Amino acid sequence: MDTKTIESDIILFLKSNILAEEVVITPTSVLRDLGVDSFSIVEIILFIERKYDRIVPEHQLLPENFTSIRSIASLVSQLEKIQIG
Amino acid sequence: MDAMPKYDFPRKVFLSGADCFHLMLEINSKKYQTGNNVIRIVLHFNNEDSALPILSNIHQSPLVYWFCNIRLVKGFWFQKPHWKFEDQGNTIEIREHKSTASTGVPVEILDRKITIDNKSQIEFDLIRYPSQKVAIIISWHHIVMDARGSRLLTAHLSKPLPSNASFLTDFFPAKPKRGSLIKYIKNMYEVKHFIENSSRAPIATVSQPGITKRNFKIQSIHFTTRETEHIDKTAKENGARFGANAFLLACCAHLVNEINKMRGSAGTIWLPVPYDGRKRGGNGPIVTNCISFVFYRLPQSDLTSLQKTVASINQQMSDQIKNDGPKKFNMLLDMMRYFPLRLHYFLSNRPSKGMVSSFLYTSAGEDTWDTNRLLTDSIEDVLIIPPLVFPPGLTFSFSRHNNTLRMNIVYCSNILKEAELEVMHRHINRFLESTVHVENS
Repeated sequence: MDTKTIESDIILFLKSNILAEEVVITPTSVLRDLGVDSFSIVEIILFIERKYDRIVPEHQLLPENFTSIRSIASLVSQLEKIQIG
Repeated sequence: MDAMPKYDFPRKVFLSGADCFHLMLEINSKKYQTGNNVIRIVLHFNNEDSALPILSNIHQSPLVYWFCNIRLVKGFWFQKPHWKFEDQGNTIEIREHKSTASTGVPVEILDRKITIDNKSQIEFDLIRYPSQKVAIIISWHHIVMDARGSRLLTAHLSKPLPSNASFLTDFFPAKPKRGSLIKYIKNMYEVKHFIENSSRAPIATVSQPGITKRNFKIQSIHFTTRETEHIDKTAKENGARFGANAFLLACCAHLVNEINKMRGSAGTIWLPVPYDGRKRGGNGPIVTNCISFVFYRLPQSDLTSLQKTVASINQQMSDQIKNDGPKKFNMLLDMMRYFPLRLHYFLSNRPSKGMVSSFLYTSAGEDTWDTNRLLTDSIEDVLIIPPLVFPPGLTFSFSRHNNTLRMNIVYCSNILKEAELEVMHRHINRFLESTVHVENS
């Protein structure tokens, strides 16, 4: 799956489950600045696991992988490659 | 003063499930004649002129006016408790104080109770310090507003008031969607079973039986920017990767455990921690508590190191969010609104044998009160004084303002001895590995 599609999926999830309607979000928005807290990050991780059937390994649970939609999409994309490889 | 323009105020606002939880805590407050479920925010200003716009907004805010003109209608079988707006023209009074101390909050304010029977559920004080600095204190009963709501209220009072009245609707909870009754009942049993298991006695706490005297104490520890950075780094190193909250909570659990070890009563720690139910990044309602809870049970085997405690907290949080725990608990609280309060009290206290929690913790550690984001830049500092609920009679809270972390410990003085407090401070130093500056009130 390409990164753009993953980005759209995550944006849709955030808009309908986590962020308030009025929040403007782009793939590069810093999630913390939008009000995303540690509880919400857990929800995003669980969404990734459900949607893409991928477990985020312990060593990948790093803040830098969850700073923006783009960094999360890149992580998911890497996890897919590892699985396929 | 100008009369309040006619706004279309809501006549009836139903209490949320979480509000009713606070209503239930009032039973303990009356039973033990101690505790004060009141939150206070202290806004510090460099001089009185800087505080004038907020003082003026307090008098003119329609929301403050609404708070001054409501009466609690307690529910009974199948009648939900609600706030009834009675437009009696009550206006807010700002009490003025002259402090002889250079900082801190006068004891008479800290000791002042607000109960659900008070004429107003919100109070304002203005303190003038010898240095010409001033502080505005906003105090309210926890039943009307949670910590996030108070930040939104402060933001509302810090900015020029909007000229049209449409903004008022954002301050009140939206009408909830009706769900399936079968789903409600199924969830209710599931959550009830989980909580009964999670909160089962014995639970270790610092409370001692027989404490009936109310004696409120607060210690506030303000970390510098460098210390705050260091704490955040230490939190990450201990496994709290997405914000310091899990680490700060773990530190508090260890502090209580150390005291209990000294007393020879160390045991399992049980903690319900508030979980904000609002969508992130927006405003959301100010009135009512929009929270649910995440529950942590920490046996001694999880308290052998901070790293182990953080890992256990992370795992329990993840498991509960995965199972929609906070949403389901909220549904349980909502359902309980239809039942008499005494039944709610009985069901909530039975498993833990009356222990509400080992201690109370507010999860505002990630919440920022940054002046550039929400507040006017005339506010120099913000202190949040958490409520003191007995039992357990010990509350920890963390808040951030302009990249600095503040830790507040609120307790009944007859619960912790001076020597125990000293031990606690030594451990705060050890856990957070920082130099701390203590301000006593």
